[in-house]
Amino acid sequence: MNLKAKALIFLFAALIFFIFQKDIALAGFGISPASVTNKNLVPGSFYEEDIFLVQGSPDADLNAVVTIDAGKINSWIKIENGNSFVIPKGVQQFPMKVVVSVPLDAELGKYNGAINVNTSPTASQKSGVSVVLGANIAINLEVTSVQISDFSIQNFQIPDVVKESPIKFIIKVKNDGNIDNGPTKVSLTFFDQHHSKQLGQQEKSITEKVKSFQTKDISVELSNNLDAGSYWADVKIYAGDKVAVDSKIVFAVIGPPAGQKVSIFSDFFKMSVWVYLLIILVVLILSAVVVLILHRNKKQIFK
Amino acid sequence: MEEQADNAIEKSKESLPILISFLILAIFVLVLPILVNEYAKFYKNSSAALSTASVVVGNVSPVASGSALNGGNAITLTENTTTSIAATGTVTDDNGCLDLVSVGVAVYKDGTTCEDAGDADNNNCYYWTDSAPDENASCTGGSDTTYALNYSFNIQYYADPGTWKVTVTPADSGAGTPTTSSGVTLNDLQALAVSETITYGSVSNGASSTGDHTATVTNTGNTAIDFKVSGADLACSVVGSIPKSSEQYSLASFSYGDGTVLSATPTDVNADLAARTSESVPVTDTTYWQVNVPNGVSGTCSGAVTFTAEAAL
Repeated sequence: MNLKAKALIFLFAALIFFIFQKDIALAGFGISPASVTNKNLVPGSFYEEDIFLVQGSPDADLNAVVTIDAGKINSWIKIENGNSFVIPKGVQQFPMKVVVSVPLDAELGKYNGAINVNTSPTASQKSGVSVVLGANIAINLEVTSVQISDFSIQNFQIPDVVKESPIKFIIKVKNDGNIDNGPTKVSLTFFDQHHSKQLGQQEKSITEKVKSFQTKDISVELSNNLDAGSYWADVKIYAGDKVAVDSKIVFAVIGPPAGQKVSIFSDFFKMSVWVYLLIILVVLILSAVVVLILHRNKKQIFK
Repeated sequence: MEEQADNAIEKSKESLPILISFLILAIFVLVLPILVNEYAKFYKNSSAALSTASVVVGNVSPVASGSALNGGNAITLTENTTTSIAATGTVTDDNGCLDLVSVGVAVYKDGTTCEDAGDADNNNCYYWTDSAPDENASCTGGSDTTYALNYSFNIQYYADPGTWKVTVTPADSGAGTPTTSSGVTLNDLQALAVSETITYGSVSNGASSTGDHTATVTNTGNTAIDFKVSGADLACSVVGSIPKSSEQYSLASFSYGDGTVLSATPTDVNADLAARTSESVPVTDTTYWQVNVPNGVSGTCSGAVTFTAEAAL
């Protein structure tokens, strides 16, 4: 290939690059989740949903203007952030809280609409035709007279326990039903770190409830007489008489509590090899000195 | 004098064996911990090395427990980029955490096969193997039997919405007992990205733009979308403005007069951009734009066109 041909290919490649370069500058915007959906509302229900306004490259502050287009249920819906706010530069996921308050005299039925979010940069507009972005959040609501019990255990855990402090068993409960609800009882059976020796069992009733359409951590305290170490707990979480969760987890009891003495002897065995060697060397030198002194004494006596 | 010397010699003779015995005992006591430590280290290393060769007598299979994805919270993705999502859990090995050989972590949409790295797919399966669990900071060696998993996956914006779980599968010289978390919701993400400007170039009064003037729309979420367009008049820097009705658009190349007239009311374009499934190719569509410049305006005219994402019907 001669030089002229190479130069032509280079120029062609450069041209292609500049053509595509024009389209690389993209503005992006989105919403997640994409709808406010609840089929379990009853007259008087209060329901909140965080809709995240998302941008992959939030390079500048962004004005957001929200309009609600939901006909006769417009008055049920409020945006906690207000209908106009600024999404700060650098924030990829900005929460916008949508609050739905169903009036006590609401008619039963299905209701639809949309929440429109339009954005525009707070900085001065560029010349030419700028592209600004927005998104429509669909509203799908249903008001029913049926009581719906629907909760789920999202997660449970026992954070590290300080020795002699109560064990905290934390359950994350999501209530999708339209009545206050939650687990009724927990049962934990404790085992040693090998899960071979049962150490005890505790049951606790749970009276705390999670409000409808909310997610909440419920904490249950259990007594603790375990020494520091790792333990297993077989977990049963009840919803009424039924077992909603049957699982097991590992947790740690840490200690000792502040002020308790630590054995020097146990620490001795954890020292580095070099420390041991140094101690032996010192002992040998001292022993040699003692033997030398004794030997000299013996010589002096014979003289 | 001689009597004193004899006494001293006798005393020396008497005390020397005791001294030597004490010395030997002291050295033994001091050397013992070294031997114990070295033996323990040798045992750990050799058991790890032997684990691939044969079943170690007395081996207990590791067990995973307490796994959770994103702390049990719903997952929200970010358009056109990845989002870091933590998978956590605990692995217990009664032979000590140093006995672990690997910990496999699968984050997947419920119902999807996601058992090894070969199943990985940005839409529904993310897999990571910790092939050096003994180097995990949570594994301190010695009598420590637990390995704490805390690994963040970079989930792509087009990961399928629905219920997602994490499964943790440990292994030492043999297979361990896996655990699977409760499901969490990966929210739908409705998003788009559009080229920042539409450039018509220089157009004379009473004339229309020619050539293609485009705005490329990319689906940067995980659901199929449609989009609406709306706009406002273009204000000109010297005099007048171009009414929005003088701008037209289409999903195909066109000449002014054949497109859809831009209005202030958001109007469906019916583009229907599917959710992305390809690892390499995004889902895009091109919109084409033309403008007619009326008499009585001059200067640089600027304004905005709004693209609004909505769920595809």
